[in-house]
Amino acid sequence: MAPRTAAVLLALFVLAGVAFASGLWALAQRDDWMALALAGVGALALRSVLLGVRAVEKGAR
Amino acid sequence: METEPGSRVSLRTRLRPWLARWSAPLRMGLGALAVWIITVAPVAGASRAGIAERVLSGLGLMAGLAAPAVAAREPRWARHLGLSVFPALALAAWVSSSLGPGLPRFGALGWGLYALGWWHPWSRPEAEMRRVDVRPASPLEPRRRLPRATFVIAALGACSALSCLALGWRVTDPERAVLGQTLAVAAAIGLLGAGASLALIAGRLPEHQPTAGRGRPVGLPRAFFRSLIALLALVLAAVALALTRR
Repeated sequence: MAPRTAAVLLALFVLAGVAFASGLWALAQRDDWMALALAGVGALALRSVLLGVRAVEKGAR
Repeated sequence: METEPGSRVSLRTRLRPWLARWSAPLRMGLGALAVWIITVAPVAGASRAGIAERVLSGLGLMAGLAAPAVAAREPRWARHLGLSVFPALALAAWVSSSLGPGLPRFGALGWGLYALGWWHPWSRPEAEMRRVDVRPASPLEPRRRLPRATFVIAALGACSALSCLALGWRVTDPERAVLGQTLAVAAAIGLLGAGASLALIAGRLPEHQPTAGRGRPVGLPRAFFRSLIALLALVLAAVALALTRR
């Protein structure tokens, strides 16, 4: 895996974690729309990470 | 090791071979002694204890201490003594007596520590485990240490998953609590899975790194960039939402 790809995937992974945590925090504050938006950000970031990992795995085969 | 007369050999230098030889048996023996004192000794020492319980406890202690002593020479016997005979005798002594309410908890902790004491392949010293015999013609890869990045990424995934699970309990409103728990569990599973996958590909050997021909690194697919665009749009929407609240 190229260092740049690794850095991008890692950054997206951290973003997913932060977004999910913030979304749950927003839900605890009864801020439903913000929670929805942050959960969406987390899900999309996680999807991007998994797409990147799959591409790297496919390249290895 | 021979030294010139008058030269000082530090205590650490003198202790090192002894520690390399005896650290694993000492750890296993201390683990056995600790778990015996916590869980079996109260059984044997009770005033109502019968002769059978005392004999079983004594035999258990002997098996637990004998196993580390013979581990280097007779690994198979040590394994049977330490991992089969000792727990079986301790269990036999344990179930034949009445236990106090606090004992099972401390007992579980003690047995966990005992299991940790046996994690190391005792027949091989630590220094030998670090030496890897690399043979290019071998069909199987030698055992090796993983890069530190692998552990960092896996730990990051585990910590973020645990944080999500903990934050799920902050949602106390009954209408949102179930949704909060569902979101927390789903996020934890996703983060753990993604973290493990990332850690695995980060721990590859350099010669196993994928390339797209002529040594070029593998490019990311279009779906990845489409997902990034959607992500960016959603981030902007979240920022706009936060700004309009003020």
